[in-house]
Amino acid sequence: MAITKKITPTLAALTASAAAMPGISGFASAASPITEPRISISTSSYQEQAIDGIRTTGTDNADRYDIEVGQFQLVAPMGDNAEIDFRLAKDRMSGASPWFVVEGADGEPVQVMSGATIDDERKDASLEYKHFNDSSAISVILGISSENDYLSHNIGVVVDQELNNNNTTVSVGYSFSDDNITATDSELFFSRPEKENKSVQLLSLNVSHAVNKNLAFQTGLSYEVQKGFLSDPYKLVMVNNIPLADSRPDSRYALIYVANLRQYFPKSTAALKIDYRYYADNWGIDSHTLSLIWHQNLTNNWSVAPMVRYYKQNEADFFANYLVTAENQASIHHSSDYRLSKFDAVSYGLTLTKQIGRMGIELSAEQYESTDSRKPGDSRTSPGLVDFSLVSLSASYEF
Amino acid sequence: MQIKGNNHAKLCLESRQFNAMGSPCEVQLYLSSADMDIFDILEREIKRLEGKYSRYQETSVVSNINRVAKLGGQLTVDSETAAILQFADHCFQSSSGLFDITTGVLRNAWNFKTGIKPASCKLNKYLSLVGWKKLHWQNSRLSFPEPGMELDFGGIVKEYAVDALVTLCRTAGIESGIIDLGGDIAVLGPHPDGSPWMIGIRHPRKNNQPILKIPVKQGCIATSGDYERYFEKEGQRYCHLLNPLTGQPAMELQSVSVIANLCVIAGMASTTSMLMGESLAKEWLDSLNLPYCLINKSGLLTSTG
Repeated sequence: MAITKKITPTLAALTASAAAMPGISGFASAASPITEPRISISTSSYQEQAIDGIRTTGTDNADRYDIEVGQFQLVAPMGDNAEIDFRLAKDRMSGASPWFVVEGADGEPVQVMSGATIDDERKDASLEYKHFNDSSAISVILGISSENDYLSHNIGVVVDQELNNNNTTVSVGYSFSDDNITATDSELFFSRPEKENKSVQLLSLNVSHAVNKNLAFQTGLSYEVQKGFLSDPYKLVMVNNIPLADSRPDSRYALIYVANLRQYFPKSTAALKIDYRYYADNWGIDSHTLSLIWHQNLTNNWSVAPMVRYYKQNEADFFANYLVTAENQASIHHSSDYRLSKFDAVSYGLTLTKQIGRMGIELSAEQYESTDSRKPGDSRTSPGLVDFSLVSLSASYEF
Repeated sequence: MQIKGNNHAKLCLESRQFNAMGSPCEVQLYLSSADMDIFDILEREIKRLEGKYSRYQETSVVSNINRVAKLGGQLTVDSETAAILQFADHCFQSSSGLFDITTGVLRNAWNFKTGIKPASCKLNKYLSLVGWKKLHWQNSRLSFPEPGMELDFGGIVKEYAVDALVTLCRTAGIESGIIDLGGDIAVLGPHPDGSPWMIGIRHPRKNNQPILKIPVKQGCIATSGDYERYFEKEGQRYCHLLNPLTGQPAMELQSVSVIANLCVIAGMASTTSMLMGESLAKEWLDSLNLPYCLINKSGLLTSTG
């Protein structure tokens, strides 16, 4: 006997409300508190590759940053309607970083690295409290981040509202961060300020919608305002062969648009994630990021997720590897920071996860390569573009 | 490593038996040898639902709701429970008020162990506490304006568990198998050779004997009968299926089995049919276009589909 009979309107209505139950739809609602505490720890190793043919000052040490990251996270329910998410992270970084660019013998820009090896440690802690109401949730996030030359306090609020039978979620968020910069060795280097401050405000609106049980779409718009000291105290620019401090405008306004699509394929127990991000700011930078991830479940609770990402950006209006100008004509703002130059980058990675009972183990690797599409004499691209590899291992346990 | 669902070459019929929700359960699935851990996943999901919706567990969501209901008051429920209440509301509407999850309080009047019919004043007292329409419910906010009511998800949750297991199996790429939670059954898909599963309909008067076997390739089947809990007095059988409007047990039918795409639908339809009685049930099931197998008071079987 098969059910081939025509479905009546009454039965259709019953079936629709039955299929909305999460066990049947296979969709656990986004805004529901967790019921069991979960801890996870992870360790990552980030390594930047040395630049070919670089020039360093003082020593021969040309290694760029190596960063070791350790993270701890605890998510726990607080009564029936709330949860907390506590995170701690500690990074240890060492290596040299791009300092300034000089004109090479054949007219090529050549990167000069900071000679001394930089050793620093960043500590980061955040606490999020999320409270769930009927069909909405509110989160408050407090965070602190410190390095030996940097201290940042931040606070954020996010409100989620579910609509349309929980198929649509609208989120509005605001965050504020107050950062203090006290550059090291400011007494030795004229260009380094003793004490500076900057603030970052971010307002964002996101809408996510489950089109059907296998397709979800998310889109969002954010506006970011940065004010204060936005220059890099450790970078210089050669202007008419004189090293001057990195100097950037004291305000930056950015618009960010994101669109994410997630399609689940039940037959092959796989999911495709397509993420797009557009960024534009008043410094003249605009960038596009497109990433594709294929998440494939395998037998025995293994899963594998290959990833590829393409990134492209334009240089900031005031970017220059070095400047040669008529006397007194140097612009107020100038930076040779490779992150403000024009470049493309491709990264690819693989994540492998295995669930063993309540324990989850994840191993992931990513290789990031800035593509050197620079033509000889193209002053818009930096010789200090970075390539890096990232390997991380994490374990989580749900009680 | 092999990707699930893309290889039919080495499928073996594997089964697991366990007890859950007060019933013997059996799951039989065609699996490749590496997929055996699906049984643990399924058992975990049943235990989760049992822990959440059992009346007998103090910490369950249902016990929590009933503590508030007993005194009158209001509370917020999680989104899954809210979705189940939404479904219960639809069941109430489409059954003309016969499928009502507030009926359970009548158990205080009917004692199936002692086998004594309740006095009408006692029955009326509890009957006044029955009625889905008496409680207010919007989104995930549930309020009981008068004290003494009770909610019982017993008529939904076992069937819901069957459907939830089906979803988990399909997500894992399993296409062929059968899930049987104490007689609430889902057929995922036919045997790999395309042949249907033979589902036995229990004989309402002969324990563990099928009265009929029906071939099912895909779909769910649920049965309600007057044989699970009952007592007999003066030749009349009084069973545990109680009519929320009259407070009286279902009298006209021995059992009704209904086939539907979802087990929760088959379950609500079979329970409602038992309470409707023979002619109304047939008319109603036909109007819903649901295939059924019905055994009346005299043991006469009617089967459609």
